[in-house]
Amino acid sequence: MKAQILDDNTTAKVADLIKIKIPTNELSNYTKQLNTVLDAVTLLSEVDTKNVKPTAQTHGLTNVWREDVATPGLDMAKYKNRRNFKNGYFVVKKVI
Amino acid sequence: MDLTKATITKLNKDLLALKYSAVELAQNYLANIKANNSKYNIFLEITEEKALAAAKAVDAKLAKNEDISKLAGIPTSFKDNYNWVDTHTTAASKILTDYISPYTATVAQRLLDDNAVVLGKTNMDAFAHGSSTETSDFGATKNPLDVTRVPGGSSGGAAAAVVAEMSTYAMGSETAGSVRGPAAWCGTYGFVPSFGMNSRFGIVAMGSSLDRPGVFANSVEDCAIVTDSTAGHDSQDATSVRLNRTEYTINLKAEFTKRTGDKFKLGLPREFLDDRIDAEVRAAVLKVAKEYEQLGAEIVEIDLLDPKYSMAVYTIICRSEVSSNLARIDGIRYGHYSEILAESVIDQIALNRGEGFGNEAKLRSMSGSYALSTGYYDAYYKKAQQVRTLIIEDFAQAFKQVDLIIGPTMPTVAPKIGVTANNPLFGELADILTEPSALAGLPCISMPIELDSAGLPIGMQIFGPQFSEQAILNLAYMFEQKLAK
Repeated sequence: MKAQILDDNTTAKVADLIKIKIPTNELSNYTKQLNTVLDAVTLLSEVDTKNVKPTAQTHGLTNVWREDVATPGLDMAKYKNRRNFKNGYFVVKKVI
Repeated sequence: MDLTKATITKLNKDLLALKYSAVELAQNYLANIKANNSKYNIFLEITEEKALAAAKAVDAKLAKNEDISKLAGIPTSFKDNYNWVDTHTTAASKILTDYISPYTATVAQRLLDDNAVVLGKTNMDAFAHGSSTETSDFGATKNPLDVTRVPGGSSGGAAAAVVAEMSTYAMGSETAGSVRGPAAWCGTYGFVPSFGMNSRFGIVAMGSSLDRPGVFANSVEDCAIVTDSTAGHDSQDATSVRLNRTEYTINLKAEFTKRTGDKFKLGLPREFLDDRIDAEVRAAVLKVAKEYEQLGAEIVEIDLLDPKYSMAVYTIICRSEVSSNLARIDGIRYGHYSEILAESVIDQIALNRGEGFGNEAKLRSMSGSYALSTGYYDAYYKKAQQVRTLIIEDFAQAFKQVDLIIGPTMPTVAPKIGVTANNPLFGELADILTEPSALAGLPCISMPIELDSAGLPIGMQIFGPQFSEQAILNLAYMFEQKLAK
């Protein structure tokens, strides 16, 4: 693994991928910070991981099921974050 | 009412002896919060009405001579990433400024079921992305021991609440060292059980394979009492371990808890005590090791994988999980919605998120998204997961030699406010000694062992194999009972 030196174009692509609008004049600031982060993790290439299985979770519980019984969901009548909520739908501003 | 270093154990006795009422106790804490919160910026929301109602219920039980839990009537607080129905839960982020919890986190609910008196929600690094509480979108929390310094983070408000006598104990959470770090820098105990022991349900998610609720308190016994209330299986968290409720408090003994062998062996990792660690911090930890030796422990110097690798693994895994967890915040169902009208729904979401998220949330989301993206996944995310396996195996080897491991919690004492400016990796670097055990999901405690020459607290951590909570608490209890000055 070699440090990927990002340019502003890549930063813009990543921002688009994660759906965060970054004004063009701020891109270089994020490029700089991202490069610092990516540079700091390059040292992992020193570690031999041939045939090592990846760990996603530490205590190894798998196949966690519960009884297939319906339980009440959130009571939308009491949901206080709804700015505009009609007939069970969130109403957003008109998008043409 | 003297609330200096107040413990649950003592206040519970006082309440039972009717020295004062639960309402009076709550009022004392609330008065202190109101008088001093502007100085430290600890509480983001004060829930006076709810707290007094809970205290009143406890007084009613006492008046009827009913049994009460040890936590009944004891004032506490929730880190602002704990959902608690009908309170604001912002995770100290601007994008969630108006968010009101429609439900309650399991850990919070269990404390409320034990009649805890919750005084409010405490400040933190926004979305828990930091180790200073400086990156809160609502301003930094100041360390009550020295207001020119940070309290640590991300649960800085929680640690500060205990030190500033604004909570007898306080609930926080850690992903790397967000409980242990602030505990060390504020001079409290900070205890976090193994991953999966405290339910994550209802805690605003940061790194889902790492997040662990934990407690700040003035005594080891208090850490045990609270965890006995909060821990145990929760069907609403798929990573919750299928273990019954714990009994740490009744089994708490100031003694070495051996797993195997004749002599209790305490590991001292060389990599945690090299020249990257402040000399005074190192000396203080070595002194405590010596004292444990005098009490009969065998101190074994061990080698662990250099924690710099854990720092890199943590950086990648945590940020990748952050990018996924923060993706749910789109401003449509809740959260900031831009005044500007975009041309498509997707553009609208990007606009809402761009305006709403702070620098750190954007940076972590972007770096995580990059590490997970096609073409880079194997080099970053998968590689980090593989090294995570090696870290876990490294600990497994170490715990064949020793019962528990001790080391400094943080490489230094609390730094000055402003330390995070222009340092996009401050959190990860400050937490370098807590990241290895966090990646392995190991139970751990930080305890205040000494003050440095400037009078600032030094924290020492103890960690052990998964589910060795009792042994860790016992060792910490031993320090508190026999060695603490």
